[in-house]
Amino acid sequence: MRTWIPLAVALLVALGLWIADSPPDQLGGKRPSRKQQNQAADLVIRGAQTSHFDKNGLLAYQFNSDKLTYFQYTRRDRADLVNPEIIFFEESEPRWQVTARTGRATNNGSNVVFRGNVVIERSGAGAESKLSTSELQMKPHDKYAHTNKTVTISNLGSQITGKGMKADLNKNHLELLSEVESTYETRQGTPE
Amino acid sequence: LPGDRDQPIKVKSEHLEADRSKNLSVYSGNVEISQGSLKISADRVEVYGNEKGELSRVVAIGKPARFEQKVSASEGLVKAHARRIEFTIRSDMLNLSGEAFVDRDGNTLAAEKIEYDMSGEQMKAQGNQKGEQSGVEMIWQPEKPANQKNNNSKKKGQ
Repeated sequence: MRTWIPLAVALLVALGLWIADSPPDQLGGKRPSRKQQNQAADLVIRGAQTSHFDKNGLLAYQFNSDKLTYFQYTRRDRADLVNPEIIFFEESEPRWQVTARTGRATNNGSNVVFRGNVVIERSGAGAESKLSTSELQMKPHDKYAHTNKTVTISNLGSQITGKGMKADLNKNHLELLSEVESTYETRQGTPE
Repeated sequence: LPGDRDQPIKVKSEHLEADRSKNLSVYSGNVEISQGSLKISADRVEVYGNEKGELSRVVAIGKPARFEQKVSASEGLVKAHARRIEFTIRSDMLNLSGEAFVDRDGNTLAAEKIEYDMSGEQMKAQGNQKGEQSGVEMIWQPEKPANQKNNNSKKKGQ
């Protein structure tokens, strides 16, 4: 009946050893303390330019910044950016460009927050449009962006504002989540 | 009004989904559209455009969707409602379907489908295909007798 007791004891001993061996801050990947956050940077790059490729080897996006200050913590990292810029490519053509005054990249650049005069511009014949807001969260690998701030979109004779946005740049699909107001200028000879 | 078409089109709503590849914007939640004296209110409105950003068609869906416009300075409003209202901007055509109703200065037309050519001021109506009772019903206000018209204009003159 009591065969499970030795097994439980063995498990407890193993757990205890593991805890003893692991330094505390390794365990929970604790958030860096204020002091750690303000520690000296691990790396500072001026005029940073990085190119990122998709699984087919095609250029997916370029990520540039006038100044990149990088901090490596135990299980996290952080890069503070000045004048960050991301240019997304489609079939090797620049299609979307995101710029801002400052930015912060975390998790090896897979999450980026742009702040201050954030502008998304779409280029390409007849497809120009410009979107501006004060703050934008972006996942560059997924070409997905969202914000809860007010957004203004100007696009070939129309102006649209709204509060809160989700944008999938891959699918050219965008949602404004509330308080939507649009103005479309009409021009003579609007075709069928 | 004739000048309506030169006015910008304004849209207000709670939510917007825009698909650039289809040049389609879908507004939903208390949608209100205005262009000069033209007004449309609905639960959901699909706005179709082209690559140059020009609008070509607006489809309003509601319970019902409502439309109104002042046709000329001297006449009252044209009011219409239906479950689906399609407004083709260039040709000034209004296609109403689903318990469609149009009221122009008291002259009314109710049918399952109504095609209203606003520039040519012509209407075509179609009853329910299933042969049920709901056919086309038109109520035309009698013309006011000539003397009454003159009296009215005299009164206005004094």
